[in-house]
Amino acid sequence: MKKIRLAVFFGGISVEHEVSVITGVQLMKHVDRNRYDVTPVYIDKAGKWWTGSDLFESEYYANENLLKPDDLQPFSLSLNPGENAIDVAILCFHGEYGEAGSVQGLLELAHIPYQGPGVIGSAIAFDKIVTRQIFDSEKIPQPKFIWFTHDDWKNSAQEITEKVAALSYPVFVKPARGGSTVGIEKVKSAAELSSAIERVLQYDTRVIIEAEVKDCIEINVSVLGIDGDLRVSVPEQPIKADEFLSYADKYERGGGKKGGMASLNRRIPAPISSRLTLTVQDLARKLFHLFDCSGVVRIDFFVNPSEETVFVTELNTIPGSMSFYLWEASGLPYKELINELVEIAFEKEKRRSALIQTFETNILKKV
Amino acid sequence: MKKNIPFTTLLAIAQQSEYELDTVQEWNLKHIHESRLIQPEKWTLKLRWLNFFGQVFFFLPAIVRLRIGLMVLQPFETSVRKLIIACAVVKLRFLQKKGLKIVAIAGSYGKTSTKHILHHLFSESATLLITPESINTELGISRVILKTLTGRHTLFFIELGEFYPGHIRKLARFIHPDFGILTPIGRQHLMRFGSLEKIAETFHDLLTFFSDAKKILVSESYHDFFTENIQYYGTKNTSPYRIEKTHVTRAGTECTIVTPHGTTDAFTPLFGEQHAVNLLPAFWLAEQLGINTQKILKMVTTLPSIPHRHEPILGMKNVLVLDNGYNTNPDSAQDSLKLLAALDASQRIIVTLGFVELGKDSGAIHEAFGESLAHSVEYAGIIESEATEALLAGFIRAGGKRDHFITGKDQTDVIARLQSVIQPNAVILLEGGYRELYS
Repeated sequence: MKKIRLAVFFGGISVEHEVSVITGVQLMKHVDRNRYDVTPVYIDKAGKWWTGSDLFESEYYANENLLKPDDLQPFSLSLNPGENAIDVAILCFHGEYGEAGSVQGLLELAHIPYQGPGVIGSAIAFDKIVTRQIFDSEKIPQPKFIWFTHDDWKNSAQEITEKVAALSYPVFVKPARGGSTVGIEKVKSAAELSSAIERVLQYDTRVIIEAEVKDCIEINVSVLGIDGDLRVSVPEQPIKADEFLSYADKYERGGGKKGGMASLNRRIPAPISSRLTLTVQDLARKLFHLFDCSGVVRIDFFVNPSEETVFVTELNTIPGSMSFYLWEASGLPYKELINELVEIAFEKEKRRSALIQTFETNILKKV
Repeated sequence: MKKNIPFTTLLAIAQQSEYELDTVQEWNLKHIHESRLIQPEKWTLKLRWLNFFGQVFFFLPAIVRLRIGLMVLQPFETSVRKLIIACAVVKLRFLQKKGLKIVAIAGSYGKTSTKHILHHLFSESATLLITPESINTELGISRVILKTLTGRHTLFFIELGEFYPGHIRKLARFIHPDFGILTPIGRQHLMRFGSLEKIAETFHDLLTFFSDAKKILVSESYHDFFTENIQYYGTKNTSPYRIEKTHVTRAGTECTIVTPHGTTDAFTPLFGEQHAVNLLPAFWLAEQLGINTQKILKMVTTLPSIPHRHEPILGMKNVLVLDNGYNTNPDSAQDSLKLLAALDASQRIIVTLGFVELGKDSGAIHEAFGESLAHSVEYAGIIESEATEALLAGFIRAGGKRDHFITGKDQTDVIARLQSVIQPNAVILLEGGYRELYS
């Protein structure tokens, strides 16, 4: 049987560059080589696209200047149908560069199927403010929040400070676009607010501030599939070493960066009742559908186990380590998860190409 | 040249044996030419003094130095102990007069778990204090009373140890509890007491302390020992406070709690029926104190795991390690095996040394346990001790494979030897603590 030519994309200009490398390299290690010819596509920190056999090994990145890597061949895509030596792509980006819709758009123009939501789904799920506004309109339970831009803060700091006080401290100040808790600040009093906002504005011009949900634990689930054909993983509870899950906590604890997300201390399944688990899983399904997702997505919640209340915080359309640990715990080995992602990519492309996109007749001939 | 055991090691062993000189001497004879350095779990004041005497008499053999140290300290220790206990009694009676309620928790096993559970479940309903860790002697309790107990506390949970016949009676007279809880009886400290009946007699002293039988809740495991009409708790239909329909998963335990006042479904993140049973005293006590049990039920969902009592440690590849390393006995170990069987796992593994302080029945009990292991686990990781042979005999007799019985000199060594056989999604039970004293 002819092997499927699979390109694995990762890296990119992003504060989560290294996390993306971990996800990409880890995925390539688990790919069924009897089934796929794998092409690594690495985008360095300067934004250049590369390929090469060195990219399969994590040691390469540890010893390389990631702004200007050596011994690699440039990689480029043609937008002309049939000109690329790739049948399908798996995107392992974390951060705006490859997770927010632009690379998805590029692949669509290049006629390359890929896993994950399309341009719109990726873009809206990546922006915490837009995500929250959609939650609002769909009456999805979520922590209270306010949002503003860099200029709003410059012009109306007093008004914003008052609004934050109304949320009641502590609050979380977050850049609208970003993941891995990069740039997120927990603010315990009004005195700390201004400097925290200034720091967060270094990551994004749009800021969201959300209230803490009391007596809650963090719960994540992963959803896999396309449209109505969905599966939801068992839930996990990330175990926090400190008060707040920082970037270092999330990626550098346990087995260190090598292990990526999989070395994060977590309890799988999360210590919640089966009834609450079902509530979370049902809500996850609804959100996946609402945001036009496909592929594998991780959705983060806060739940109050005593009151059995659930609040959604965000959707990760390309989750760290592809949430493979949640799928392994749900009975799906990583190798098979990758197969499913490829099938989803082809299915999505099939459905898209079945739509009427152009008319064969040239109406200009009638002019 | 023959080496000698370091004095620090001997101090550590003395601490582990609770300063039973005969036990230390026996251990010393077996290990006299080892140079292994074992650090004491905690450098207490007593240990520091013993160490001082050890330094002064450096020219004498280590065991003689220890004997001298203990001899010198004893009279001094006795008077200080008496003074501390007397002061604690005065303070305690004063606070009891002002309304402090005391709950005594005794039993062979499950008392520390019960105490931790009560602490969490009542933390929003009362200003409470528990005796920390496994402090359960007159002196330990007295220190807590003098150092930590204040007029703000309204509820004080005290764990009672049972180190000799009559100990519980003595402790009950000292603390004057308002309520009592007897957790399960088991073959713990069997060597000290001689028989299970003698152990039951000791715990019966708590029962006789209360003139009103409603003030004490007793584990159903005492049913065959006690004749009084008392309130039992457990899993049997005959117990008015009981757990039914237990379902254990890797998320925790779901069950139905039945009390004389109603039935309710509950979920706790703790693992196993034995921990679900440990919830019952809280519901009973809430009723006694007029606290809304719904409030307690909500707190059940957020119970934190209890250190070394089936405490989950999450490994890579979804391997779940349950650390039940505090202690074990032939009866509580059956609860652990039941839990192991209930959990979804690709493979079940135990790491254990067996049981300690069993006296003359040790061989037979370990053979029986070896048989249970053959039925319950794929691999038995055994820390070498005097019990190993009996465990192996039972394991093989019940059809266990010899190469699935893996031994090592300590817990780390056993786990290292098991590494190559551990599969993803395995559950590994660390049953019973490892202490050099028993190696």
